Amino acid sequence: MASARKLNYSGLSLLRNVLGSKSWPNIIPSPEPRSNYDIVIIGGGAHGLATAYYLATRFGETNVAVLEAGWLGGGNTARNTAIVRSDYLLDESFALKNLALGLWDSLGSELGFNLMYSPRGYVDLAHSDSELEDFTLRANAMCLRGADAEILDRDGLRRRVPQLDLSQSARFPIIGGLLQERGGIVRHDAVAWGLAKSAVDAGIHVVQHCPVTGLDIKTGQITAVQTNQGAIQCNKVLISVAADTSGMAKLAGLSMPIESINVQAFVTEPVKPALDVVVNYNAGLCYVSQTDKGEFVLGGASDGYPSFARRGSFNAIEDVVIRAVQILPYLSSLRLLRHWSGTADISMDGNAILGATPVKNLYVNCGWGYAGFKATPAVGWVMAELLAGSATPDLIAPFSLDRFKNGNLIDDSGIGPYPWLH
Amino acid sequence: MTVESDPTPGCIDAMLIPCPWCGLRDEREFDYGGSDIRFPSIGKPDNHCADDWNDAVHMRDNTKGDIREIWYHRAGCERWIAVTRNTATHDFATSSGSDKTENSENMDAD
Repeated sequence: MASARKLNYSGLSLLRNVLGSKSWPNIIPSPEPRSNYDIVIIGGGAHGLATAYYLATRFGETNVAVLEAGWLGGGNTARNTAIVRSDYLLDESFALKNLALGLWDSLGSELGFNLMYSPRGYVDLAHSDSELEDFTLRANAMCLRGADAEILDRDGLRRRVPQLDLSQSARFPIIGGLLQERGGIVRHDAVAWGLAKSAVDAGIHVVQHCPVTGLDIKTGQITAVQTNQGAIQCNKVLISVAADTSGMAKLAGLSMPIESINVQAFVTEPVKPALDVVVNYNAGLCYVSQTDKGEFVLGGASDGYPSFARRGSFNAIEDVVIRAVQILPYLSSLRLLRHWSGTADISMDGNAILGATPVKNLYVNCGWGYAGFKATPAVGWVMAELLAGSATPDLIAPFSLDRFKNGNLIDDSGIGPYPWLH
Repeated sequence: MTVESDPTPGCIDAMLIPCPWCGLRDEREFDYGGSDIRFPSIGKPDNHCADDWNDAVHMRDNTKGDIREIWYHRAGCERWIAVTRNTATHDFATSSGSDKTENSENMDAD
């Protein structure tokens, strides 16, 4: 059993490895996949790993494999800007993210792995009266459902985020903002490692470099997955592969309401602590936070057209940097150090798709676009509940695949079937 | 009128889009119009079912490879163009005028 080689971290183990060890131990072993599992999860991102972790620890399902085509923390899990928050308007989208926010609070201590969860506050900036009214609607909806939200005027913003350029003479003056103090950041790759380690300790197989190449379906029911390491028989399969969902679903003969679109992020050179809150320029998007290492992390809107290239357009970089310098002028003296892209799976209403597919025992978790990371523990929990039982949990019922055909879209921004605008 | 354009390899920095009228132009001059979708005809009762409309409005192949899509050359000739673009490499295989405005009544899938 995998639990025989349980790794624990301490100051002593750190010192021992720094001084003595020739090679650092792997966080998880590399198991040979068995020929048969109860549940196979395709995709070893944070969502798939969280599903596996909760399956083992809350629902007693340990005959489970997570198959990852690449390596842990190689995909969108470690390509996002690590922000967590729950400032959503519609009931359905709020409920999942707010459940996640509660779980983030204790996940690090539960896993025994430092996720560097930092609820430092999240501020959304408004540049017009109508935008602030929209924020007020959202804040009221959040308060009614028991979350913390506060509308700040310019004086309030000046006290909470003194670094902001709040001058009236700015080209686009900031007039107020929405503050969620419980929002913040979590170290994203630690989330992948911590969840994987605990899932493996509980007896689950996490197999890296194991791409799924085929799905065996007999009489409308999934029976096995084909991989580069042979066929694996299984009772239930969850597709949790974000931007590759369409390709995976095609193996089952299914079409998905998804487009895969590039989203970029950047970091500056590291400097001393200069920003203790997450700030977002809502009009056109530019979100900024500072890591514990001192780098400023910047992200923005998607590149605006489907792409699997994981290579960004320069104009998107320019857009983000222009906004960042407008709100935080001192950033203009910093240089960008690194830049990367992730491929976001954006659905036709900009919201996730969770639950059953037309193929029996084949389930899907996709369509998170750039909202997926913050929801990780909640998604893991409800998908585990779905896979372990037979009923669909209330929290995910609204996110069904057939909502597009039935017209029950969950479109927080009222944009419509234009994924590149979400 | 249809003007064809030569294949264009993808670029490392800004994506250059071959406009059949204006030549190779920076993507900043364009607005994205989405997949080159053909909607079911309202006039044909056979096509009047929810599945056809759901397929056309919501379902996408989302291909990693060549896709057909339309762009609007906002800061140029102000015309819609239809291109074949590779989503993995950003290479453009073809570019021509789109019938989106010139022939908009003829949008039926045939």
